[in-house]
Amino acid sequence: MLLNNIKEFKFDNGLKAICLKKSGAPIVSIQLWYKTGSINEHDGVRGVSHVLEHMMFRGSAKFKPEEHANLINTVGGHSNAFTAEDMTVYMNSVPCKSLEMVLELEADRMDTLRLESDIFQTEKKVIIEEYHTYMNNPLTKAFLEFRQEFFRGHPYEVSPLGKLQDLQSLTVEQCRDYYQKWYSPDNVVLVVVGDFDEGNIFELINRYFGEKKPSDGAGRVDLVRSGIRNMANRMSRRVEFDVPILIVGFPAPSSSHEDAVPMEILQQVLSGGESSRLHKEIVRKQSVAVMSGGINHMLKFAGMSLFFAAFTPDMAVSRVEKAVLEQIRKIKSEGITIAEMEKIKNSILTNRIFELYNVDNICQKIGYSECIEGDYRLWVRRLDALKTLDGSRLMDVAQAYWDDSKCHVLHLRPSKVNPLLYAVGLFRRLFGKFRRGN
Amino acid sequence: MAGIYKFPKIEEVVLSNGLHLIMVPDDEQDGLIAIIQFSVGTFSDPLGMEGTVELCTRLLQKGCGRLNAEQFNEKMEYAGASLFSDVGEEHVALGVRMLASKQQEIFPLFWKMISDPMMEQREFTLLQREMITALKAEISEPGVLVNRHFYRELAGEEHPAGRFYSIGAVRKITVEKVRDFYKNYFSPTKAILVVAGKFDPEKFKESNLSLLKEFNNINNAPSVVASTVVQPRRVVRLIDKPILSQSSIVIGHSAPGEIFARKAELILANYIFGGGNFSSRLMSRIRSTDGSTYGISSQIASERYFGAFLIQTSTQNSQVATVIQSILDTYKEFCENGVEQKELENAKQFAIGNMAFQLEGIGNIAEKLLWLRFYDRADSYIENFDSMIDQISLESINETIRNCFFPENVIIAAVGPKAQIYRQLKEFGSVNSFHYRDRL
Repeated sequence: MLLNNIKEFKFDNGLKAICLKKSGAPIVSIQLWYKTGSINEHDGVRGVSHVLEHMMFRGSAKFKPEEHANLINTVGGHSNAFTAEDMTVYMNSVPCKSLEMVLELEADRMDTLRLESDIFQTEKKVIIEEYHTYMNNPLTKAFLEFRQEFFRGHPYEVSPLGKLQDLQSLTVEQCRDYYQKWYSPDNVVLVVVGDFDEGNIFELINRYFGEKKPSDGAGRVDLVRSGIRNMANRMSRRVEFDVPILIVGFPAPSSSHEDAVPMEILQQVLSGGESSRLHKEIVRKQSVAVMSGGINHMLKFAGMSLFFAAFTPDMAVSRVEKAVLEQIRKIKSEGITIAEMEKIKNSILTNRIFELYNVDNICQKIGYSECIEGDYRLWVRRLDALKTLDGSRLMDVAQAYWDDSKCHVLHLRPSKVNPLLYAVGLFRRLFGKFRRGN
Repeated sequence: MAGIYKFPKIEEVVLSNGLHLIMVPDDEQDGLIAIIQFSVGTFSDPLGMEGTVELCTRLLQKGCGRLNAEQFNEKMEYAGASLFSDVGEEHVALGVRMLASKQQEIFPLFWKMISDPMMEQREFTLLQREMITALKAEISEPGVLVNRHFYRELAGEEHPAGRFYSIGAVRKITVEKVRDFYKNYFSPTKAILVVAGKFDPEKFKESNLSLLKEFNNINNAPSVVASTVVQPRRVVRLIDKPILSQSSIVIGHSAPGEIFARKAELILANYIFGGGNFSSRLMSRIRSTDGSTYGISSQIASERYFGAFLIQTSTQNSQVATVIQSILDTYKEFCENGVEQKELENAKQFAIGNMAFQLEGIGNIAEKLLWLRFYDRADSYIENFDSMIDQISLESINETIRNCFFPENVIIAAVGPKAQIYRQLKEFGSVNSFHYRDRL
């Protein structure tokens, strides 16, 4: 199988490279997963990881500002980056003949970033624009408040977007300090997937990264990373959004925890697709919601298991909440069926097969598993883990995490509800019931 | 450089019912994908019942033959298969992706869905409710609002590109109308079916050809192919949404359609001006130099004949006028002076290098084939792509810029708080004001 061909090498300076040759399209994906993100920020510099991510495109010793992206575009490729709680990731995809160019670009900005003051001020303006783009979406804004409450007291409390006040006051020195502390070869995973020459790939990487000095680790303070408050919480917000929404969240395991796979299966049974329990029960059978869904947001040290339902203004939120929780309780007490287990296995297998058609996807999966879960093989082995799972184990996991005493609820209420629409909705509902009853 | 990119070997046949079948065997992974594309899209929505095509496409996926929606979903999803659809202005595509090992079970089920959908009243009611809810959610999106207003201004409410589905229009649609629409428009004539992935074409034909031929809806009504429009003057639209701290802006005008002879020049020109991400002039000036936005880009959105050129961005309310002026200055300079040789060379290299990404995996290959056949491009298009791009000269691209880009007669649409942006917008002409809840 393709995945058995993954090769890895750890260089003397601590850099870990993981490579997978994949023929097909003549392209290659190169990603650098730095093991730092908003989790390593403190008050006063909330958002610095993200600011630095932007500055990484603004010139290094050998390359001018924006030259990184321009050079990659010129060969037909694309480059981008994102900042998360536990990592900052730089992604490049190019025709295979340009692999070496990307290695040179990435190596140069690893330790010779320019961080010029005037460009820093301009880029801060861009990031503040980005901040407003997110905050102008009422759902995003409400969800960020929800997660803040969910993770209160934990380093995950503030999202990677940061705090506006901190972004405004952030200095280039603070950004440089962060860069020097966290950006070094011993704190990164380099992943290469695509059509390249297997014979000399590690030699090529060594040519550009081999001389880089590892960090002495100074200033890398381990923050308190375990134990979220785990207290039930209830929030209600009026938002400029015309559809009422209910979000229900429970603590979830970290992504490398042995309960992560069962948790993913449970989530799929409840919310994965039109044959999921939530859709069948609360949308189709009970008609209390118009749409439903869910997702596990599992991070390196903790996670959230989330469910949502969108409903009409004439429906009482308590009824929707009761219906959602009822489905969760049912799984906790009765487990899942053999057919549902089979469905999840087939669905995960199909997703895996289709992931393998795309080098960027493969690169991302390997990078995530290695950087966040501690071993890229976990991505490969996850399918095997499915085979040994039984129903009782799933019930244990459901009972352990979907605990009512730790349930967080957010109700988003439209700021304007048209009374006429309410009345018409109520009438339609009553009429609908009457008609179905006949 | 010609001849780097090649499609995998394909087999094509046009069946007696008019269905164009394309088979692309590819053993790279154990997946299989099937997509059927019909020559009908939202431009064919009946007047006053906009949303019919969308509802029809979704209703197709809610049960078929003797299987109701729940039974159908379970059969699909329990086998790990997933459905997808894409409703465009002049096309609709419906597809399924599956494990290759499940093809005997899933493909016939997919085909039953296409050729013998159940289209029940109950499912229709649920979908209608879902669509109305989604519409309510959409008007909270400044990006959606500003686009709708731009197209309404550009095309007018009589033109299909200027009409959108509204809550009122969706409520007028009945299940009977949708069933009629399906019978009249979702016909095998002119439809293209691509099957790509791990399968044996001979065995596939043996098992499925008679099934494919049974689909015999007769195309009674011609699909609407929208005409091009002319934008005669500058117009400014303000859509008031008081709560926003940032305004969303669209600036643009009409553009040639997909079959324009100099489409390649148009694409390269747009890449240089605003389509080329950080390499574009717009990004370089408005984001990298001024820091006035998180994102800015331009695009040519085109159907067969109808097309539009749009510049999209967002910025804080206090600097709306400054940003619009910078965009207009950059655009004027581009239109008057054209592009430079070096910029053209970079754009060509991007276009040629990027083709490899457009052919990665069976999904991309299937989509590319549908596009080629839909617009009657020759088989050699892909293999000759780089030499075609190579041949574009500085003169031809600058001539295209002079003929297709107009810096004066643009539509400027902005969604933001009227109290803060009205005076700023007045600098660019008389302002037509709307409220974000106004129906279009």
